[in-house]
Amino acid sequence: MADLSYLVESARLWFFIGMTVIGVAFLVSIYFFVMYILKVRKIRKVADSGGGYHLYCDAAYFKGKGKRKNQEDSLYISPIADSAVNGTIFAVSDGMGGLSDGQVISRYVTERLAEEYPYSFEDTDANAAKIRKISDEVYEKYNLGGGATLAMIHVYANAMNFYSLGDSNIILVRKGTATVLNPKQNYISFLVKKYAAAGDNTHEAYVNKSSKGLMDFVGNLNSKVIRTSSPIRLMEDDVIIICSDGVTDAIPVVTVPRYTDGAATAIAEKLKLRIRSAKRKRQDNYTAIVIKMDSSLF
Amino acid sequence: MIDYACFKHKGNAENYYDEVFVSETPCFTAAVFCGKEEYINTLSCAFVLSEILKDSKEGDSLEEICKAMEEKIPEDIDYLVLRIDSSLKIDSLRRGQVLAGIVNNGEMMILPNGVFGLKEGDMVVCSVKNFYSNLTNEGMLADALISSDCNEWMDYMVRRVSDKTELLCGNLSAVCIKV
Repeated sequence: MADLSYLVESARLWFFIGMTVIGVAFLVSIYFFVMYILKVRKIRKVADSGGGYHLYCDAAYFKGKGKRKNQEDSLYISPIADSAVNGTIFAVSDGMGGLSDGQVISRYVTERLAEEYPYSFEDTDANAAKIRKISDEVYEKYNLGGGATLAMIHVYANAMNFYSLGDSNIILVRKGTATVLNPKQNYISFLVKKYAAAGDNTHEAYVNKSSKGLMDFVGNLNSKVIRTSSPIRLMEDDVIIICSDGVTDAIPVVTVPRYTDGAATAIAEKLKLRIRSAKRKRQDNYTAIVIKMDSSLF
Repeated sequence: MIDYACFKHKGNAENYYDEVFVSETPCFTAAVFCGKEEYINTLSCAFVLSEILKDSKEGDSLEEICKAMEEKIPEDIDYLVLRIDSSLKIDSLRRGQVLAGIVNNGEMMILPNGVFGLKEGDMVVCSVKNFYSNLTNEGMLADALISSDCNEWMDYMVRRVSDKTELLCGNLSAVCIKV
């Protein structure tokens, strides 16, 4: 009898512990569910802001080989027909010069981005994980012997998230001012931080050519993918230019607003003409996607 | 819990004349003063101001505190003081060209004088003109949205200022805050 009551007692105890664990797990899952709903609501609030109407993406792109043997840039635009449901992805990948197979890698990156489509607009961490996975795949194949950069935006209604690895550019032109949104992951950032912390000026960080070397890129293991945690609100007449550094080497970013009048195709045409007319001796490959946010397509 | 990061740099000036002050008690208070070279001998006034802020109580109105401060400092010294209380209300008061911006609903907005409610995750940056004039609202906003903490946000903004000026401008002072 004593054994039986001991068994009953221990069964009760285990039942109690089990129920407590289940209860705690339930409360934790409720907490995360509520937090997720709140995050989604917050993001939708940004996306839907705009006085009840949604902006449209008027997009165009251009690319050129410059003085290089091969075109090592690649781009991806997700199906526009799905944009009302999934938003639209625009991405440019630039094969890293000096390393082998830049052309193959940048194309691999954009093809893999297409395979991973669609992307959640709310869960930017999950999208960053997809990009990191692509980077790890490139690392496994090339073991740092080749790589590419990536600049990607995700536009949904009136809002935009962005993702970046390396030193390609996402430029936002608003009210006549151009801003590169994504930081460059090169050695200059490290040096600037070091000199600033020491109270010095940062001139030395820019004079050494090797300081432009990338500290992170697609093809690095466990890359730090730059990503927005919540979206940037877009406004009518905003122009977004996603481009390889071949574009910004030929056209200084501050002068970009001079070319941003008119529709996306006209802007793309003007930028391309500007690069060609610069006739730079060592013009790199250049690729850009131009997106103009418009309240009407007509 | 309020995360914050400060940046103080003399730039190409002979000395650092500005002051950045942050205190977490009795309530979170941040202040940025834009000093001037001619007041090098009154550099201690920044210290006096910090003491006034430190001695203030949570219930004290910011206006009264600033009035007490203004008695101690020359008229042409610009400053901004902001306080965040336990109920996440922000009270800010600025004089001159020290500005604060708040990341709100996917935009960067100027924080006006007065009291406003904050939400968890809101981010505020407060800086002197030498700092913000080398940045755009969109740049500060993007940097805020990609950062996991205030140190990272500040590093990105400093990189932007450096790209433009190599930090060869006047004193640079800023504080960024994440609620």
